[in-house]
Amino acid sequence: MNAPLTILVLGILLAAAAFFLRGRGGTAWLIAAGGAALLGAVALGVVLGEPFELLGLGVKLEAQWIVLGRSLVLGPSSRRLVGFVLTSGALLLAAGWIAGAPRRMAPVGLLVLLALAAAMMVDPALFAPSFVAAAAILGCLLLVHPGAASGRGPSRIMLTYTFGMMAILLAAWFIEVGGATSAAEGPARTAGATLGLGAAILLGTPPFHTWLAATSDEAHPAVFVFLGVLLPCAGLFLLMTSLAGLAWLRADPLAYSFLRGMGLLMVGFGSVWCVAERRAAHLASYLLLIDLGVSLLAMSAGSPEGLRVALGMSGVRVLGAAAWAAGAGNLFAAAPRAGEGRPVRWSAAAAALAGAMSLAGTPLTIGFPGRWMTIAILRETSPLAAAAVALSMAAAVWSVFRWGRTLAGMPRQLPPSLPRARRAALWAAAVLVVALGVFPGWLYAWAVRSFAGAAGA
Amino acid sequence: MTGVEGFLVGLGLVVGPICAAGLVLWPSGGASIALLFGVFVGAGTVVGFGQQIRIGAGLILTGAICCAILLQGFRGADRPVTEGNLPSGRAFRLAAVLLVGLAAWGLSNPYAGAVGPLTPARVSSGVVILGMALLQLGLSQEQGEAALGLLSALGGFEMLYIGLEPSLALRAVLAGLMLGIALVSSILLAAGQATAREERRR
Repeated sequence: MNAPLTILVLGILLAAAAFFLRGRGGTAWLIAAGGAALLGAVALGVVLGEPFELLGLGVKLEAQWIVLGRSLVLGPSSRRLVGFVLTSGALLLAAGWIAGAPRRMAPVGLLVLLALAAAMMVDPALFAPSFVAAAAILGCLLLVHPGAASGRGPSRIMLTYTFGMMAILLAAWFIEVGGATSAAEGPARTAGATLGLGAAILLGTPPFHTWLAATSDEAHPAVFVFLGVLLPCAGLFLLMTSLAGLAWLRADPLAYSFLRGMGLLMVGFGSVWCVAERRAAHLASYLLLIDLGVSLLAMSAGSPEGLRVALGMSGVRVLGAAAWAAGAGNLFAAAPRAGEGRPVRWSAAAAALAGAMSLAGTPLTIGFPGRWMTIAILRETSPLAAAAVALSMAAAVWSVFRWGRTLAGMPRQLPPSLPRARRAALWAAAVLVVALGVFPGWLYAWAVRSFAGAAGA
Repeated sequence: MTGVEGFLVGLGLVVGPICAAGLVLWPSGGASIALLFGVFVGAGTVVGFGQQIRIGAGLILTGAICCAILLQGFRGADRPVTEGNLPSGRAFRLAAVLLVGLAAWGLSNPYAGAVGPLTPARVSSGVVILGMALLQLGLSQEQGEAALGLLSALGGFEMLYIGLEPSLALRAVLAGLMLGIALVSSILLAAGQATAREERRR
């Protein structure tokens, strides 16, 4: 037996179970979120290459699965990324449950996670985008609204990820055949440029970000966050593994300048759109764009610290986005009061605001330390990028506070409100985002420790 | 390569881009499905007789299944309305097709000899198909047209990429992606049609 096949088969069985039990309240969500967490734990902790006992049976799992001449490997570094993707997905699926997302999110979401896990395991890593594109196409099923025509979101997602995949596959061929060993060589330059274009597309760098805003418009908040966090995250990990695996690319200062340019573009445009935007869903999409941009700027420092901050921010982004989605999905009561607009549920507003504040990098939330460390890293090497991070923070925080003021002006939902368990989960999400922000050492120290060795960090 | 095989490869090199251009001009209905299949037949013929017959046959089979799935999605659909401010008349599309076709051919021609084991004609043909698909995707964001454009782009990409990287695993994944695009697009189109029928009933 081998670990990649075991994880994929178990995941498919769990997704099938979640699909057939989707009519039974929380069972499907429990299977999907719990299953994803379990598979994440298996990816992180399973013993590879040595026999061990499971329920009285002797089992030996190999790290590699060779299929049609290519291999999926659960190696020392990829298992951390697989574990991260699956556990993050579990958290976002749990947020979907709390937010009352469409029930098909449970089975389809789990399949999306499996495709992303396969992307993290494929060797060589430059063939990963085909699995990321598969995840994106599967994700479009979450945007089907029975009883409503589909908008532009699905076609834009398919378009973006298919063309991103094509660019990176071409780069892979340039690298394999060109045998690039020095950035100054012609083939290496072409390969680097094609790889950069592909990464920019997969990460949603403007102008390839339009699917984010379109999806935020059309999808349930939990679905939007699930796709908007995980798909670009896979692009980010691909970029990191490419940098870790290609010595000539790592040694090329132009690669880091390109990363800085991408980051500045995302941070700059995201900030302007944040300030101009008043719709909550669009605001969240631009907050995600800025957050990704800051991660790229941290990476552009070219130091292990920058890479670790970028990886840590990926984990923090999941927490903030999950809290926002759980809150935004429950924000409004169904019936508006006459002449007063839609009443707001305060527990949901607290979770949504805490999540948005974290995504904006507000001080005393979990999103702040990553930005602070990025500014500290960039202050010496690139003052312009450090200033851009600080300005984007100010713009994003102001936009979120403006949204919060709008929510405060709306009437409060009177009882009967949400079920007690859901209210407790929403308050817990809000408190967690702030508590981890007050003591950031816990999460960041853990993230840095767990990611040590992953993607060259 | 025998004379007949050479002739078939040459035919595929011409049929693929012509069908891709036709897709821009007739982007909806049964004709569009036939034209999409033409793109796959062209690409599959080039790959099959120029390289490996089973890979070419696999590509044509994938295209046929995608077309069958899309046909189900398109069945009963109203003619899609192309949104936006762009003129969408056939004369405009024909002018755009000629311009993009010439630009793609002109851009690919100087580099065609330098792309690995691919013949210059194959590079030009693949790039023209990709150009036409991009044009179609730029002219409309409607789900059905986007699916046709994407599948056409993947057909053109495969015509080029199989020559560079003939890995079976990658072929399987890309075939899966094409089937996924067709399937998901059909589901999205079907959901939209159900709504339209409901509205008409009201």
